[in-house]
Amino acid sequence: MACFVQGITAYISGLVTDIHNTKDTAIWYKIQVVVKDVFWHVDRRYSDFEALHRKLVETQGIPRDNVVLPPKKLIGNKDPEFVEQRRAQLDIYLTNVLQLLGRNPPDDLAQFFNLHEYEIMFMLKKLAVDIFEKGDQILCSGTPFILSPYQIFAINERMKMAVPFLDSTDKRNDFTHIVDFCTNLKQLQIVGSNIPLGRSTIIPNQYDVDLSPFKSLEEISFKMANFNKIAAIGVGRETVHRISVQNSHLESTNELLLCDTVYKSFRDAGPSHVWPNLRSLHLSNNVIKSVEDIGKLAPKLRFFDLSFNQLHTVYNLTSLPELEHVSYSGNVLSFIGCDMNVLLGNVTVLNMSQNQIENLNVFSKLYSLTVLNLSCNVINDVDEVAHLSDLPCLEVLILTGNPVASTVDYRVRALAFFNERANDISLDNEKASLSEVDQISILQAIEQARRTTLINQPRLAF
Amino acid sequence: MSSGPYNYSYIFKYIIIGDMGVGKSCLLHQFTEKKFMADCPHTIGVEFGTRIIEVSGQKIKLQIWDTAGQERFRAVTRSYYRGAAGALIIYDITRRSTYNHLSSWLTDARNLTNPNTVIFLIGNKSDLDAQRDVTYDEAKKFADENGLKFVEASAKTGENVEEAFLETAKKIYESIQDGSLDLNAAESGVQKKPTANGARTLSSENAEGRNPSSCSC
Ligand SMILES: Nc1nc2c(ncn2[C@@H]2O[C@H](COP(=O)(O)OP(=O)(O)OP(=O)(O)O)[C@@H](O)[C@H]2O)c(=O)[nH]1
Ligand SMILES: [Mg+2]
Repeated sequence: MACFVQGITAYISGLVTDIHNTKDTAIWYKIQVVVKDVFWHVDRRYSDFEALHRKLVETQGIPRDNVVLPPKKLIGNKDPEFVEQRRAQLDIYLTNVLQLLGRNPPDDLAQFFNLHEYEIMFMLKKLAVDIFEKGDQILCSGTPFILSPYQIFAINERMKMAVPFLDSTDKRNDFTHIVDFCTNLKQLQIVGSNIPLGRSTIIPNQYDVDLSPFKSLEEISFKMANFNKIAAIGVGRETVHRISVQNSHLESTNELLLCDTVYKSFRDAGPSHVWPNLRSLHLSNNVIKSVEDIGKLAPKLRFFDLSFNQLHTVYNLTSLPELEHVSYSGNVLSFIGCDMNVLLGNVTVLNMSQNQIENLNVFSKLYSLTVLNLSCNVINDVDEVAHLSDLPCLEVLILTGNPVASTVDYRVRALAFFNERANDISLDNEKASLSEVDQISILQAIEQARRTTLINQPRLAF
Repeated sequence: MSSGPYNYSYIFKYIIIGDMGVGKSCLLHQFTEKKFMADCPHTIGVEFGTRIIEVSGQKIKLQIWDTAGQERFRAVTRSYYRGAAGALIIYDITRRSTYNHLSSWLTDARNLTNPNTVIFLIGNKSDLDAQRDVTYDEAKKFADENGLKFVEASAKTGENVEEAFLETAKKIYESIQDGSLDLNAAESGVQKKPTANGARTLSSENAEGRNPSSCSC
């Protein structure tokens, strides 16, 4: 972490400008700012140093004898020898300024070093002003507020620090505004990153995040976060109704729902671990390999998105009486061992797209189903659709991207299985066209005839 | 809705201090949630709570820092005193030692806050009258001698809890009204709510004071 209390050093680590290129007029120095175990770069010109110096003279009462800026030079300032000499002088200047003001950097100095972007005290001051001015509008708007793990880490650390909040006359940057906002925030989105922040060595996902300041959360979402580093998600147990964890290396639902127990197993689960208001759980793009029976933990769950994980089979979710929407899209499902209704109960919307499903017999008793998405599987045989023909509520069926979808008369043959409901079904986002309707009735008539003979034949044989 | 978290015109900052276990967190919880937490863990460092109240027709948002009583957090908790408009010092009427430490809490409060900070003394756990270890009169005398407001309260039953927080706000509001508390002073612990666009000039201050943001939710 970077906090100026730990001491700041800075030196010029090189030039940004190519002094041999005649087109470049000003010389840009690359300054490396170091705070304990992190550093970052800022590019400054001589004129930036000058401007800084002027402000520091005005507000901080420098120069003292030891803080003088090297003099200006108008001609020949790209001579390598001169550039090197000036670099050395500016280096000394930086060292002296920091010695004098680094313990409590004034805003001008902070700006010069970009402390507002990387250093937690100044970062939080800036955040406090934003929140003071726009916080209520954000709370009011109902849109999620985005924070990075590094920002939340900074908030957590700040609460443990023995440093008073008011180091300037501007009360807008009081840290209290941030904590106040966090206390009242309902929709939080944590967007992590594994790449360094800006031009620093700070990698947001390497920081521990404690969510306990967020006491009113209703919706929480993690994107590209490092789930192992996140503590106290349970702070939202009573209030949260929607959780989304995406691209965050989540391994199991227990890791999330039993976040505050030691072993994250159901042996630990008690009434205090229930998420009584959780309705919607979005866990796409993680590394989940199995799904626990979470009915005890999230009894009100309606929407469960498990898409793009590593699931080989469909798990029993019948302990969730209110479950309506389920997505297993983008997993590695192939053979499903038993009837899906035994596993999924009364779901109405089921997304099974982008798997390895070949047979549809297991879907035949999902009687509440209205939408079934089976796109991009390996269904070859149009006769498989016959297994869906008794689903009384089915309205939307998607089979695009399966081998069967490019076979001859596919739409007509598939729809014909639905008998008198054929015209009500939207297949691959389209209802039957007029000419399809005609063909379907012909097919159905032929089928009818065939069945009649089939039924009559045995009689004849008797 | 008038009770929404966006409808207020002032922000007052409070701190709650006192020995460990006297009921600081419970008082805060009772005030913000109207519930008693029987098994409240010791506070680690600081906790925070907020509520909007009404004083003389003005909606005021209280930002309340609840500090840990344990000695090992003293360095951290001391840094929260600065810029507080109200300080609630709590002792436990059933434990004399917590009362005996009051002068040290008071010294801290006086040294680390500004002269206008309203200091309110609360003798908590008034529901445990049978185990009383400090009389009302004795504490009242101490409060009077030191110019503090005083009530006995109970975080458990809620008795006088609301009153203590509101009374403190009332005194702060009075000092704003009579001009003794300068809103703009860095450490006053009092702020006006930001205007809707965050960029209104000072000249519109008056108009805005009586007309809290007309948020539709
Ligand atoms: N009977 C009774 N018990 C109370 C009352 N207030 C608090 N308690 C109990 O006293 C204990 C300590 O309360 P806390 O609010 O945690 O005390 P604290 O001052 O915050 O303690 P620290 O955080 O360690 O400084 C808890 O077990 C509460 O249940 C009260 O008014 N009446
Ligand atoms: Mg406490």
